[in-house]
Amino acid sequence: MEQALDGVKVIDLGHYFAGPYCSKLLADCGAEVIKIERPHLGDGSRRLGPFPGDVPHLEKSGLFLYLNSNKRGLTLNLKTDEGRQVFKELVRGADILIENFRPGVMARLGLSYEVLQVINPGLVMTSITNFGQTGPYRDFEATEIILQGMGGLMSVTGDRDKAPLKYSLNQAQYFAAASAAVATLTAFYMAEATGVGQHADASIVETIAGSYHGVTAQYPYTGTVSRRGSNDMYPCKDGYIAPYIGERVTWDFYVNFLGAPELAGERFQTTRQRQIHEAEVERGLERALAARGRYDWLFDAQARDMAFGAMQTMEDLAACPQLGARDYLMTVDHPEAGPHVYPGRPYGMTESPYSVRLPAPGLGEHNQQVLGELGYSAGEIARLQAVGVI
Amino acid sequence: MRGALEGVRVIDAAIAMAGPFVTRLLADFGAEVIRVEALSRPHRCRLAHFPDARPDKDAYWEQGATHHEQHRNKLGIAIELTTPRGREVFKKLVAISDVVVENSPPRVMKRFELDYPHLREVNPGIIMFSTTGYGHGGPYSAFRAYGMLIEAMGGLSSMMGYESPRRGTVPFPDPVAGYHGAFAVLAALRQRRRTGKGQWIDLSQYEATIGHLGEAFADYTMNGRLGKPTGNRDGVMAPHGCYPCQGIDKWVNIAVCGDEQWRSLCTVMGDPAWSGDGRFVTAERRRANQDELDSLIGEWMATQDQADVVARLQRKGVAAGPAHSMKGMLLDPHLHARGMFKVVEHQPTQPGVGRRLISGPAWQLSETPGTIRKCAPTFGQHNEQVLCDLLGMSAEELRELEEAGAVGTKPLPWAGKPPAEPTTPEEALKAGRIVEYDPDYKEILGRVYGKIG
Repeated sequence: MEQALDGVKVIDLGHYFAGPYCSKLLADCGAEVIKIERPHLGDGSRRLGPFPGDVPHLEKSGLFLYLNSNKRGLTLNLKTDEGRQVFKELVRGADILIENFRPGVMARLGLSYEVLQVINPGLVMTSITNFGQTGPYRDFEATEIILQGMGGLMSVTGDRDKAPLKYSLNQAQYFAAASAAVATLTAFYMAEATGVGQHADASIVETIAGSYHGVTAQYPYTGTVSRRGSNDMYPCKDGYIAPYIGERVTWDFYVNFLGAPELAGERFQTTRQRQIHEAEVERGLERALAARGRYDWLFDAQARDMAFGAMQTMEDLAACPQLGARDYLMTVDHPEAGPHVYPGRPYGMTESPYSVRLPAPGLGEHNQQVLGELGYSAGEIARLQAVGVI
Repeated sequence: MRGALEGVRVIDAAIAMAGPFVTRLLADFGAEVIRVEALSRPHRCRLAHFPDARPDKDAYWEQGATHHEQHRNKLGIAIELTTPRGREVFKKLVAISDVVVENSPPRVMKRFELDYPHLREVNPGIIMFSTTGYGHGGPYSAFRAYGMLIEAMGGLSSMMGYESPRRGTVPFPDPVAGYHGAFAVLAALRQRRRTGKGQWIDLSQYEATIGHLGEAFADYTMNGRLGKPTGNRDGVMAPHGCYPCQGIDKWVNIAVCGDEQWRSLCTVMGDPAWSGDGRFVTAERRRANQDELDSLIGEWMATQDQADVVARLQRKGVAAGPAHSMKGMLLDPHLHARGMFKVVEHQPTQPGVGRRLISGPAWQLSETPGTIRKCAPTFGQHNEQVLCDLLGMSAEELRELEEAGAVGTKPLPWAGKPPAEPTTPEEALKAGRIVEYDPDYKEILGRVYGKIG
């Protein structure tokens, strides 16, 4: 089946989240991705899990298996001359290189963009880092919470009388990976037509910092800083419901629908009035919403043009009829880890359908195949393995 | 310098946030984006953040910060798609464009007969990008959705919160969908260049959100385990949290990985007696005694200056950073050195705006850097340029379209909703709805960025 990125050759030097997710997005549109890992150790995400039955195993990490499907795997020791030589041969034939080492690591390996560009002037190299390739914080230490905080996401998230709150899991890193994938294709769109490659410098903090217009524009226009506080998710009979009146119905219709008629009438008509009577409104909403189950609220409200959302868990998503109807979830059978269900591609393309062509590679699974394509003989490959290059 | 996407023409018929985000990314890197607004339903982002919180009653729709940020680098036309002649103009534009981006509920473009099957008849090579909360097709396809509700539906909220689940304040999923959307559009453009085929892309914001929860989803399918809110804490690192320091609503995040970093943190804290306590000697003990640990670190942090303490921690190799407010980001020396925010000069027809800061392109490209070439258009500003110069209509035809109510330069009275009576910053501060107000914010920013306003 034809795919949008058929024939695009990608080298993935990514590890953990951002690099691998970025190249996965390319792979999911048909690009041929070769994932390069350190011999024996592999991508650190192989050790993060989750693992089936909580038993750690390099080939069974759910995170690794999710982020690396549709790729082939090669092990390569870039700290050896021969390893770098193989890498450069791969770069010569590649369109795109994705990496998320700290700034300076590629240069220390002798594999900076300046070096690689000479080998392949059409190469698009995308570097994803916490703070970017330049600037005073370039070499700062960071983890997910540091990135979300510096990008301004936390200061507006959470309760007003509590600390700024982090979004769950690794949102900043996934987010920046999706952004870097756009940078990559932007540069590639030009490179493929003109033969002129370039280096994309993607910073995780900046991706977060530049993505929430409503927040970012406030201070430079008004001199004000908004505060944390709104949540609008209320306990209901079997979980939580996020009610939202939307733009289609009146306030009185809304509160009558909820079963809180005491909140109808003159005193509550405008946002400002409701802010004045905030405690009373909150009490009424809490009481009313607790009375029914989340899907009862969801379907009844949506049927009346109100944009309610029910809080769902992974269990709910696994059984979601909407995801089922759109064939979003994919079962991927992996020779070691077995068949498991993973999120798929978030969009349909009429001419480039999504499929899982390959499960995530075993460590070094495609060494023979990839090096064979470069012209290495079986004997040479065996020698490279014996001396620890692959 | 040419932009990477020069020569790509995009029609932006999007509303809300996710769709305009897609076209913003394309416009920053050189695509020619023509934004189409309806006379009867101007975009709500025009109402967000007026200069000095004071809307001008005769031109408030030209003053909104969010409009300026989202629609820089775009041309703007105003045509009424509820009229047959407006739709005719739209189709003429489609015929000479590469991409159409829209994010209305599925029924809208169908009703206008401007959905993919119709647009393909006009231009077989057209790439149409649609995004909605839940995607076209399926039982939830007509559901109304906003970013914050997608957080709840998509599972993000179930694992977020201090103790019980909660959602955020910003529409987190919207730009998530925006990035995936721009990616899909570029992939389709590349495919078309090779094969000549146009296509329709149908993106679900719900699905885009779920895709960023891969490890949690795998833990459920592998082990039946459901993630829970853990506040700012981590399963491995301790201490791991957000602590208040000196100043108004100023905070510092710290994430300590391993005993060496813990000892470095203790050194920076001046090795207080409690830091040698047996409760805190290993990561495991620190995790088990996190309530006490957090309150002790909090007491110390309360006496510290944000920038100074972050610098001292980082010098010792401890992951630390400010939990920035927008003001903090604007004044952050690193983000400033990186050119994260750009001063953009606005037009006299956008009263009270002048030179303002907006966030710049999302990444840096070495050969064709993203640029802000022009400020956001006023309502229908480029009607003549697009309809006459590009589509070849005569001035007379344009006048006819204006008279027929199909094209215009002023929104119809705002669907009965003029901007709500503005709250002054002083009132908002008193009511606790904002945390900080600097009447001299232009001077504060001006010291770093030059004249503002």
